Amino acid sequence: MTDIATLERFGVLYGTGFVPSIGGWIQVAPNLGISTVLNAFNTLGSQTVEIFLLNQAGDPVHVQQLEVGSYEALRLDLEDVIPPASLPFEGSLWLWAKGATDEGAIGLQAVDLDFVDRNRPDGYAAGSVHLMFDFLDTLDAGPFLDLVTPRVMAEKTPEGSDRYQNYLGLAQIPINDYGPPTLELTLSNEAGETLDAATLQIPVIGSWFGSLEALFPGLPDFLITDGARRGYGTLNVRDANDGYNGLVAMLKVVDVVSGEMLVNHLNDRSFARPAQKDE
Amino acid sequence: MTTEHETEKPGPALQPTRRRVLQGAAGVAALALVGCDVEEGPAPIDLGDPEIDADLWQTIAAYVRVNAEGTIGGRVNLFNPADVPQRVVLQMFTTDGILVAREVVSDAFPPGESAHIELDELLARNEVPVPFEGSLWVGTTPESGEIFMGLQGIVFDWYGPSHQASVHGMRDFGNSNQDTVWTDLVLPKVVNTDRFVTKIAVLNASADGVSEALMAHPQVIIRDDSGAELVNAELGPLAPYCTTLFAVSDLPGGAAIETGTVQIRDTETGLVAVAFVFDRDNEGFASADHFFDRHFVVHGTGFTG
Repeated sequence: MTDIATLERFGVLYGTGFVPSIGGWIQVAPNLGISTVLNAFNTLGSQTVEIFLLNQAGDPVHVQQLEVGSYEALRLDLEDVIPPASLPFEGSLWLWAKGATDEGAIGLQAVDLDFVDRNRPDGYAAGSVHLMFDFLDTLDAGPFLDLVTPRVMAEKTPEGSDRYQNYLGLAQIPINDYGPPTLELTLSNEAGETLDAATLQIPVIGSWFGSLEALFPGLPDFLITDGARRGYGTLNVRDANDGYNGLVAMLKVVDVVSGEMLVNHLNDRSFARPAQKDE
Repeated sequence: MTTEHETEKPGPALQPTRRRVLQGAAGVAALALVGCDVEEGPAPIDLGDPEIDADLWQTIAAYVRVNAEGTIGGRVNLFNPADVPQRVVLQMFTTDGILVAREVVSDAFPPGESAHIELDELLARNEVPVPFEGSLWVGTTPESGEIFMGLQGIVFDWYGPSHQASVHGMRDFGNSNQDTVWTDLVLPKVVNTDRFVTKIAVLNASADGVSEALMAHPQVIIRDDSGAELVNAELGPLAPYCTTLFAVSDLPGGAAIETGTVQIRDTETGLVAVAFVFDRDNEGFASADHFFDRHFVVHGTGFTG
């Protein structure tokens, strides 16, 4: 299901000079002590910011427009803005910014998301990640959406159980391709072998979160090769339809032993620049 | 000054305000002259090792530390996204800029392949004693072509007494649309609570083979959330390949920080900066962030560097 009103609003923002500064999968679960905090720093002139919180299906649960002054910080604990009826919440956050400044309308330059665990001492961030759209294929070669991370992890504890759990979070909006993407996921191990997951379809506006172990049954044993105790995998997410969409992805690795988690966004595999080193 | 490198690498001319490339003897001489810490006198530089490698493009650098007990350490995760093989070289420097390890991961790292290097093992192979504190640099040379992709997907992981922190690699060496300030890095969050404090590592990333070796004078500006300046300090001179790590609370005016933003500038020198949330109780890094380039330009259809 596509929320037409949100789609139209994104189109209006896009057409009136707003720049998409960030998007990403988020989780707010007060019952578990989990929240997500948006941090942004506006180093340009005053900017108008419009924030969307969409549930996994792409329906808006909160839309907010506000002004962020020059050199001001924006901090938003998302638990404070999501309607109680929508909690616990899993979905996506999208932030657009517009400001006519001397340096142009280039959006907010520093935005990140902190995953907060309120069971920990005040000030603790369970993980922090900044997320970017894979909006532009700098090599001008398909697939347009082609994200990658080399740090999927597997390790056996001395007792033989799995130490790490790997999760993937995806968030998607259309640019000018209004068909839902068909995502192909490939996992490779250090021996150069690959596994393909079943293709994944997410809404044209919406998000997805799930376990890599569920997508790739047998993942730990596939990654731990040659009798090693630990193994690594490289995950590649790409759009089989080569659609012109905006997709962001993050990998969350939970260490079952320590209870800690690591969060990283996936990198644009096709991010490149001419061979001129521009210090 | 026109260099051989400029004629070899096609692309738009550098801005005339940019100081130009030094290579070979000139670059090494500059390194030797600037030293590492002016106040304490120049530290020795291993001139015998060719760290000034004109074809080795430093994709990323990071602050690292490894202890003898194996409880503090790290790993670098690499991935070659290009469609050509790349030479991949790791270099490790002490905080005062002494090259202690140089290892060729591969002369031709295949496209689509990844590698994971444990820092304690790398140090041991190069007979570098631990505990170690310094920086790790990842350099690449594409086998052919006119596209520089480096190694996308680089992630540095830190182990600590009770935490792990992870940050993805990014080459925040310069600006993309402004001439008057070479380095202008920003981060939307610093903290200073009873338990946690932001620590920032700054690396002088000049002199990587295609940029001039320059002494850095990093300016650190920390503001509260309303934009009011709490800290405006210039760090001590930092020579190429040198690293400094400091808690924001230790800067002049830093005691007043609760939450805020940070900006690091240097008019002439390329810097890399990484921020950590340091757990005072466990003396470990709880999380890590790389800085954003303030002048990373966003066009209507995407981002360009």
